Amino acid sequence: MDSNAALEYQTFKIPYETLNKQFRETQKSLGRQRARIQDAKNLLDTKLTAEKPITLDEVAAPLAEFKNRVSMMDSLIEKAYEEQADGLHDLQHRAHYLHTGVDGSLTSIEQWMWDKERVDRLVLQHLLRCGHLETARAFAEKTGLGRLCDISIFEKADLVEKSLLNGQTGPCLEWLHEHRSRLRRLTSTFETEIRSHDVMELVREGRRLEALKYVRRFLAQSLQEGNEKIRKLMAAIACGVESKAFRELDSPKGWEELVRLFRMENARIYQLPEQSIFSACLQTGICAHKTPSCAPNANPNCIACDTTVHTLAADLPFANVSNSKLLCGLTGEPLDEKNVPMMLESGRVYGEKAVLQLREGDYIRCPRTNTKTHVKQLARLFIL
Amino acid sequence: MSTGHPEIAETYVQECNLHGRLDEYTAIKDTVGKVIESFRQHNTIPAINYIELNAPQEKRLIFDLVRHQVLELIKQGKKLEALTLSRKLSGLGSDGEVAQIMGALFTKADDTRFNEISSPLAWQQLESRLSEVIFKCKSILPQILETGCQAVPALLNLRSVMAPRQDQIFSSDELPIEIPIEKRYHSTFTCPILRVQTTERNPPYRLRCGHVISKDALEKLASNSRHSLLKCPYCPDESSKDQALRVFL
Repeated sequence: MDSNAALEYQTFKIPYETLNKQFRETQKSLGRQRARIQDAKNLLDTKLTAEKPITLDEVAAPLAEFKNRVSMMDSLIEKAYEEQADGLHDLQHRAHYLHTGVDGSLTSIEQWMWDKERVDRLVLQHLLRCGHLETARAFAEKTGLGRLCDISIFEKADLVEKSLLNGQTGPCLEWLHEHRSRLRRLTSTFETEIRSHDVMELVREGRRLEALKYVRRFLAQSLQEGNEKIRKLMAAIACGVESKAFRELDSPKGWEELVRLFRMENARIYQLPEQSIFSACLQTGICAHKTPSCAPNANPNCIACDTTVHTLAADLPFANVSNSKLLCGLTGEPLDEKNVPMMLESGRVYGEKAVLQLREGDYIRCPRTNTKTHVKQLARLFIL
Repeated sequence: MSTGHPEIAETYVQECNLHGRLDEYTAIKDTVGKVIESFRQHNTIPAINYIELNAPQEKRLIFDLVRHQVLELIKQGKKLEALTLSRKLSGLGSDGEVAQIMGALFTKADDTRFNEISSPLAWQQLESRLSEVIFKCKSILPQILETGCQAVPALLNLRSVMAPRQDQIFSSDELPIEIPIEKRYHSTFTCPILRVQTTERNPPYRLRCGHVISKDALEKLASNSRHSLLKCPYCPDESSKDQALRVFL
């Protein structure tokens, strides 16, 4: 799999989904407009083909209306075309940019820049997914990578999230409405969750009759399906704030949970994976450096021994090393046939050359354990 | 921060309420700000002074900073200043490089031989190195992420190939495939019999004949016979399990 195909989900799926949505909306609105034009035409037709002769005035108004609707259609088409052409150009630009980075057409310093930009993009995408909008915006401006990441989607999401944390479901419901066809295809239960919250708020305020009406109006389908949660909700409405049903459904972390669900649904709509690509690359990158000998600050050059990285690496698997590679305990040089590995009585391993250096008369002193090994006790290691 | 975006680090800290992490930086903020600001306007003199004061061992960096400044001055037509400044170059770079820059003083203004050295990307690269030295931290994040960028597609490929045969590609403590990295700083030993890496729990042991296998492999080979005798699978020397010595990597 091409590295771009594996890593650039966020760069492509979001504009792709946006284009899809625009297309669907345009189809619907053009369809509606066509129907209206048809109506106007029919009206005009009936007037013109009527038995008795008619005056110009009588025809003027319907004719004008007809012309109006046709020109509206024209402008709708033009607007949609521009919007979608922009979206397509954007996609093309991104595809081209990503392609140049991997097909070897850049000079070495340009490649350095492209690689650096890739790291920056991963960070930027991660910041956006975590909701750190201010930082993301500043970073995008600084690095000029804003065009390759869809900040606007996350800004909309941020508005919804902030309103949810303020206890308001309005913007969220608007967002739901905007994406309803996609959510329906994903069989999302998010709407039910949000509306349940609204109902709970109404019950909490004692407006139980309104709550009932709300359920009838918006949750009718779930009611019919006999959804467990909805049944409890009805019980809560019936029995009021003090009831067991209400207390079961009510939870103080409610709003934060909703924000979390919202983020998940937002990611699902755009087919983004659960973790950001930054997170995946970070973890696999750490794995590739982790060995069983890594410990905090064990080796200043080893990435996985860095204290921060080590904490992150705690639950991660080791790197796969199919051929053993021993390093000299004194110099850190790799040991091979030219510098064979020797083991002292302490069990520590050094290269032949290092052993000569550590020799004190007939004994070799191990620098790590300070024990002495007689030259005759030196054990050569054969590594396959 | 080492990428030269300290203001963004500040915004991040504020947004996430991580107080106190940037205290050291706030102390040097003003001086450093001026250095970077001038650098971005292609004036490296404050940078040269700062590095000479705080990190004089970075000879290559100083050389490059001086070189960029000389070329910039030549571009601006200030040849005499460039000549004075270029005297600094002599101790810092190789003779060939110094000669090349001295030659630049005498060529025509539109000579393209020096474009590569003073291209905008080259300035950016230099800025990146400057930031690393100023903020005293070389970020390992890019290195980790770049390794990850190679690892993730490889793992995805593996998963798609293995999908019909097994659900999980992570069945042991190790990654299922090997990912090459620049340099390893730890010894690693893979038992030739069981094909797993040795760890603290399963360390390597040296048999009497000199071949090294993991402890688990040793136990397995010895369990088949009484008196814990085993035959080395690679040279048919027989030895006892007790004669095997623990190897400390």
